[in-house]
Amino acid sequence: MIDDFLARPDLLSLLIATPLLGAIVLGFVPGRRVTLIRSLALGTAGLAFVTSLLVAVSFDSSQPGFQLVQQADWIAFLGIQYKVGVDGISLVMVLLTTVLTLISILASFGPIQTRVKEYMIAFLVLEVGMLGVFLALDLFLFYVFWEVVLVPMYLIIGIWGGANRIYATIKFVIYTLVGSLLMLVAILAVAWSYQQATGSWVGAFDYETLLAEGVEPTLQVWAFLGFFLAFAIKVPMWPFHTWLPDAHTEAPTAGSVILAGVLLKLGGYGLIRFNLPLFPDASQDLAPLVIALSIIGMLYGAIVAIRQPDLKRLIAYSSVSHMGFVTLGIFVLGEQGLQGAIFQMVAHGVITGALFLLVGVIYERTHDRTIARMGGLGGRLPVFATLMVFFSLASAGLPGLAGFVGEFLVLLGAVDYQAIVGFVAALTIIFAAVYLLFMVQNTIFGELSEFLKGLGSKLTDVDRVEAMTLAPLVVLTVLLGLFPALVLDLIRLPVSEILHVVGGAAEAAVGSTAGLLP
Amino acid sequence: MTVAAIGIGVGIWLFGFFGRRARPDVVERTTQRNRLTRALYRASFNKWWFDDLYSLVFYRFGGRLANAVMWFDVRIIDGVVNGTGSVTQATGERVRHIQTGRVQNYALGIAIGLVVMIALFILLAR
Repeated sequence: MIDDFLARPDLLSLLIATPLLGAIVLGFVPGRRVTLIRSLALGTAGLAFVTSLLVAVSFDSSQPGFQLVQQADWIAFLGIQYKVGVDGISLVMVLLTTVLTLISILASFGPIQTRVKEYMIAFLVLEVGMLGVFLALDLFLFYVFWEVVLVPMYLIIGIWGGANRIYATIKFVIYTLVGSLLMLVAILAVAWSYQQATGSWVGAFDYETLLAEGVEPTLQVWAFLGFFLAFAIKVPMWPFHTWLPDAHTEAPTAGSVILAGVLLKLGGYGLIRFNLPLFPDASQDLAPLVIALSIIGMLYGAIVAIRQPDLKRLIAYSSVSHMGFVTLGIFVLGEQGLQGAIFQMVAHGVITGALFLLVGVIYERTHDRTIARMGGLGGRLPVFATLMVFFSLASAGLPGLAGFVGEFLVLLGAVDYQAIVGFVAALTIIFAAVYLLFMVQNTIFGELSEFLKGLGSKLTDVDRVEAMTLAPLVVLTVLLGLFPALVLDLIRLPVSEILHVVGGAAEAAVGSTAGLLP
Repeated sequence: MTVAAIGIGVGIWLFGFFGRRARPDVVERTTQRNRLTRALYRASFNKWWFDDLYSLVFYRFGGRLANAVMWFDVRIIDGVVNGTGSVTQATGERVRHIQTGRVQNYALGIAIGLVVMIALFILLAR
């Protein structure tokens, strides 16, 4: 029976439709049947996960270009299509999405007790948007999915969030909207310029057509900036990052997991998928600027993280720092850098997702996240403490765990670009060790704090459901750390394809990367 | 390897190991011989001040830097972001009074606009 599904031409559409159908079905279940709603949501996310595995099995990493492409006319007179397809980079992101969504829904069973039905519907719609962004091959369709992501996240933070949730969610939405509207303008400009050049709207929004035709050099810089702002806000790059700590602090645990795990990657994915190959000349010209912003963001995020009083804020700023590695890796425009950037996105999704789950574990018991009130959890919560140390070390980039591979590859790429860039980037790792060890020291070690003593028997170790959410992430962290080829084999070909497009100019501008290009 | 082996050997001779007596007198004599050896001894006694260096750079200096950067983050960067919001809200608050709902006011606005446009048209047409 599985064979019937393998390599079906509509497999990707099935994947996108699965959570949507689940959300629609949930709409007809009475809100008081909480257990049924939870099981249905979990089942849907599980089905989506299985479907994404079928995509992975159908995928042939030795083939160039996009696979399982499905297309249909949508707004025909403007050449706008429904077109989806998958390459190695999107496949990796899709798998990350389905895994983390499944885990997030399971992790919401305990913490979310009000409006469970609406919450689960929002989460499944969120999955539709995320999968769509990673699979869309039409610029307009991409934009639509990009905005679809925004709505459920707005609700998840705004309804199920903490005390200051309205401020945080409005900030998140307005910030993202500013970026995405400029991206829409850039999309329209690119399509319009294509129509002017060819006299036809057919293919004006089609990613592959635009890639083959190339975008007019005069338009590239502005179009690049339009896309870039949208993605830079989402990543988030310095100085567009201040929405992130607020959104993370107020979001419910699972919201933070998805925010850090997948939503930030939408930005990195966009830069790789659209900015680099569609605007290669502009990418060349503006790369030093983006690299400078990345380096600032990496150091800045790490330094600010040291002094954060709140666990979630600390991890949020560490995300700013870690995502700086991603944008740095992308814009050194070399094979190792770009592979490292993609790997880092996956690793950061897994590791930071787990760290937010762990903060959620503490929050469920204490209703507090202030680092100063913690301390001595190691003695009372051994399983929790072990996991906390494990994921902190993974986040700090301990060799053998997932966090190391991406950072190492990006550093290699950075040194290759310019030694000083690599050196400054490496400093980040020291600061990462400072804030992560600071966090571990002040939560796990020492005497049990008075605040925690006051909780008495409420302070229990990781329970069964929480263990089920964390265990797969432990496995992934070790697996990806020991066998990075699992990811690298999938992305090798698309990475060299993208760099080939940016390539010609790359060799002229950056002599040292010449040997790395195909 | 050789250097390490010699080091271990000298260490055992000076400080004793498994019943071998230590030789504090030799240590004393060697290290207090002149200013250089005294300085070297003190430096190695304090682990070359690496702990102090780390403490200074990453704890003292790093901590102050972190405070400064955090201030910058909250006041300046986030200040600009929130300031944009406040300015927009304040502008809206002021400007909304223009929307009176009285047709006469709007007609006046249209008339003034028309006059301005005609004036511009005449001026620019020359």
